[in-house]
Amino acid sequence: MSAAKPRTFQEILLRLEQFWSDQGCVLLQPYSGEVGAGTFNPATFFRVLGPEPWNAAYVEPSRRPKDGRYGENPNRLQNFYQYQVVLKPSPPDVLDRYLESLRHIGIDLARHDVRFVEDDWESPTLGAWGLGWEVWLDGQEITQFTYFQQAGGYDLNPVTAEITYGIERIACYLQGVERIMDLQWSADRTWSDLFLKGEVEWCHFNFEQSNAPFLFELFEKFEGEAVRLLKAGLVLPGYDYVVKCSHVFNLLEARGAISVTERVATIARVRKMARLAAGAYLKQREELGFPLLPGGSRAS
Amino acid sequence: MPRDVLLEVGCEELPASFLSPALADLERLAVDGLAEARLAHGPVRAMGTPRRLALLVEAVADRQEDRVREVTGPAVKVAYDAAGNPTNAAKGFAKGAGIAVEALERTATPKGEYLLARVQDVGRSAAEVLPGLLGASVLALKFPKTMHWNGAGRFARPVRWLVALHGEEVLAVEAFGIVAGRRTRGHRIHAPDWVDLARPRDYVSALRERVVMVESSERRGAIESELTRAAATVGGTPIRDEELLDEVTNLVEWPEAVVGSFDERHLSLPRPVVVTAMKAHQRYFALERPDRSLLPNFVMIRSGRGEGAEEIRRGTQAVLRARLEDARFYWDNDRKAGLEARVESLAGIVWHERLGTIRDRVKRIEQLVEELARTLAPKSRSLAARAAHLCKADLASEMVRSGKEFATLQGIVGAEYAAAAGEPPAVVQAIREHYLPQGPSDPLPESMEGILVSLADRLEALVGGFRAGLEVTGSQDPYGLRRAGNGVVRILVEKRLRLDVMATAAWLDGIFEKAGITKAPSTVEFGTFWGQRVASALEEAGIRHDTADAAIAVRPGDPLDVMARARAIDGIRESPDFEGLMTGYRRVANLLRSAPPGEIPAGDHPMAERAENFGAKAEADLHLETKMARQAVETYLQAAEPDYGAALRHLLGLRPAIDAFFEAVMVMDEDPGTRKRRLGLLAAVRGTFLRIADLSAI
Repeated sequence: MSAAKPRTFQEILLRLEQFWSDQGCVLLQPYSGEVGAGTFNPATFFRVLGPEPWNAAYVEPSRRPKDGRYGENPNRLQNFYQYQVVLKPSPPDVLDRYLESLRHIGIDLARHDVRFVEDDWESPTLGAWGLGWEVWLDGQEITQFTYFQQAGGYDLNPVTAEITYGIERIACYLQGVERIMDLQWSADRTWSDLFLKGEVEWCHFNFEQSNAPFLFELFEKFEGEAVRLLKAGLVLPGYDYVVKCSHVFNLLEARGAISVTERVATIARVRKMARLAAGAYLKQREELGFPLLPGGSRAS
Repeated sequence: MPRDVLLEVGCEELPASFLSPALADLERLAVDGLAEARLAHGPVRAMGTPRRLALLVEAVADRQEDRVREVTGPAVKVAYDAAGNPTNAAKGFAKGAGIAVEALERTATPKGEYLLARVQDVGRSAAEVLPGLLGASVLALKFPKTMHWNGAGRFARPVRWLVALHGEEVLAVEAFGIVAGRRTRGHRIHAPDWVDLARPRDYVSALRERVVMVESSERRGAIESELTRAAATVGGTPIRDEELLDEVTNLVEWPEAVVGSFDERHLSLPRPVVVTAMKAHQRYFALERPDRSLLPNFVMIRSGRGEGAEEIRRGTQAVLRARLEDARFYWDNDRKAGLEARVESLAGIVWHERLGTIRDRVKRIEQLVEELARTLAPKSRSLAARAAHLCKADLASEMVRSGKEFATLQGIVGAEYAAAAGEPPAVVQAIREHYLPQGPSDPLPESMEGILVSLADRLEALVGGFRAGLEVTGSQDPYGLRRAGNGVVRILVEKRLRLDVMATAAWLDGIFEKAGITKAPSTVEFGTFWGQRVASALEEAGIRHDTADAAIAVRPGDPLDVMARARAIDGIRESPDFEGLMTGYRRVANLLRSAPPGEIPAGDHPMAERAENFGAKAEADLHLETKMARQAVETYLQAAEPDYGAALRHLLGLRPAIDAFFEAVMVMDEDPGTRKRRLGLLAAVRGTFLRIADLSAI
């Protein structure tokens, strides 16, 4: 049922955590490295693979270096927050549950227009795609909803439903402010108090100060490390370097250091690593006897 | 007693563009399935919303119609032994057909006499037949893109429930791991509870009570009246947009209008920019005043009803405000930068890795426009060249480069920038028009300047595409080359412009060559590709297929000319002499084809022989007739408007001379000199025909 509107950003997070915890999700913390989206978190990228059920929710600070605007554009940031929920297998009433979560954070749905607008999601770097929607609230995109069909190049069955809330957008809406910078984060602190200086700094780094030759060198080294570790069966350490490669690529792109042809080729290199990681993970889980399956040994 | 049938596929929100085709398919599949199953029925209606595809069939018969089926069995000669007793073959056949051996009949066929069984099929009950039929119809639906969600089948989006009723009974339909029942759901937000349907005819009204207008036509009508009503509250009318209306119809279950407004100062932006900001992502309808000027208002169609209009208005206005402010930001920056600067920055946008940047491409378009104007329209040369110079400038504008909805305004927004910069109206118009036509029913550019830039734009892309070895085969047209080719043909034919595209392509090839752009290997030659484009235009124009081939084979370059020659051929094909002429012509062509190489002069024959050299009269006659025909044909062809009909009629007159020649003369004479002379004469005959067409294609 609709609750009173949350007054702060952190209260929205608390309510989402409570809601999805009550739905039986494992509540996780963000991944420790730089990622472009919650999908890169192993809790999504790996757990969607294979037959084991998995329900989890977490906040993911998401870095998109080229989206920064020095804090001047009201809704464009190089570092924003996603609230990510993955449900595997996707329950038949998954959309009802999602709508219920919106009520839980204080949106009286009967007084709004909620719309599911078709969206085919694809991550060329992760070799992943799915079908679903952008969810619109009164014309504003607030969530990305995807039924994963493939990840790391592997067909998925059972299918995971991935719900990605754009929390800043939702918070702006609930607080009636037009700029993310004006969001009330806690009772006495705004987004600007906490992050504006950093946002501007990162933009200077991403667009002007990052060291392209050094980054190219890093990419090569990280790639070598990823392949070496994954071939050695060290799935998570190897994947760490895949994610690093992806972020270095994003930095190079923001810097304008990657040409159109290089871009395609570099994405293909990351995708190849992601595929390797997915394969290594699946092999490992199979060897463990898929312990999270009902009746499994649970020795994960 | 006949009973109504209802099928409902309850799903998660389908893409708007999938809905109408799926409903049409569902209706067709059901009608075909019922006919196949011999189930008599009344009217069939498919209806649906983003969340449901439904089928309502009135008065479906309780049983299939009985029928008698004729089954042919073994040959009579193996069916009975010498004593006339049925063999095992006959007994087995009778058993399989379910009738007594004595009841077998005989049927005469071209292969002899065979046994025939008349099998009585007793109709099964509708309740038995319908589940399979309806299930198969659902599973046969096709979508541009499908997914799976529970491993039990694919659909556009997950299917969550099925309703299948036959009168008051539930039909045992099963699909996607779901067993059909009588429960459906209303609007996702306003009436989410499950509800039992007693009988099919309650369907539409039960849903209406639950905030779902299930029939698309009703929804579309409701949107139209909502739009008019809402627009009137701010003194305007909605700008008619069928495409948007269709889309919104398939986005909502219950339409209700909400009017919003935006800051009046945004009205100083170009109208297409403002309208696009409303339409492209937001699917809002733009409004205009009685004097047709844009109002600072819009109508958004919500899905649902009742409270909340104020909240929705506030939300929708905020999104539009952000979009319009983006547009204003781009508009101001772009004008400040100036068009020339944008043209220069096209050097930073790669067109194709082999073909350079868009700046390079624009330079080639400029050169080609000048070349085309020289013959087609000298007076338009300078303005067309200016338009060509500016035609892609908007691709470097922030408005288009933003990648937002305004990217769709290329050309249109370029014209707006040119107008704002004080460029002459003809230049502005040419920039706006040069992307036309995009498709077969699109309008063409109207101004000569627009035509020149459009032609040059397409030809540059085509010739460049072939240089770069881009793919043109297969059912896809990934680089739009076929579309570009069709556009060139349409412009030349409909605007009645004479242009030899093959020669122009060769000229352009020289430009690419000079720029050091080498030719990549490609599987198809430009000439073949171009011939196919012209052929498909001729087919559209109703010209016979082989006539088109005959006309294209000799000179495909100028589509207007090919069209005229093809029409002339179609014109004489009904003439009584035509078949006879063709017989003669085929003999000429076949003989030449089978003659040893080196015996006939390549190409056309000069006909320098003197008449006295001919031994036979028939040979001398054909020589003379051909000579006269050649002169006549050249006269007809060199007129300002070549008269191919008259030229062909003249060629029809060659028939008696050809016939007499073959009657009297042995071409492959033993004397090499005679043989060569006669083959040369036939080559001249053929060469005369080839001035118009290669009739051997017919």
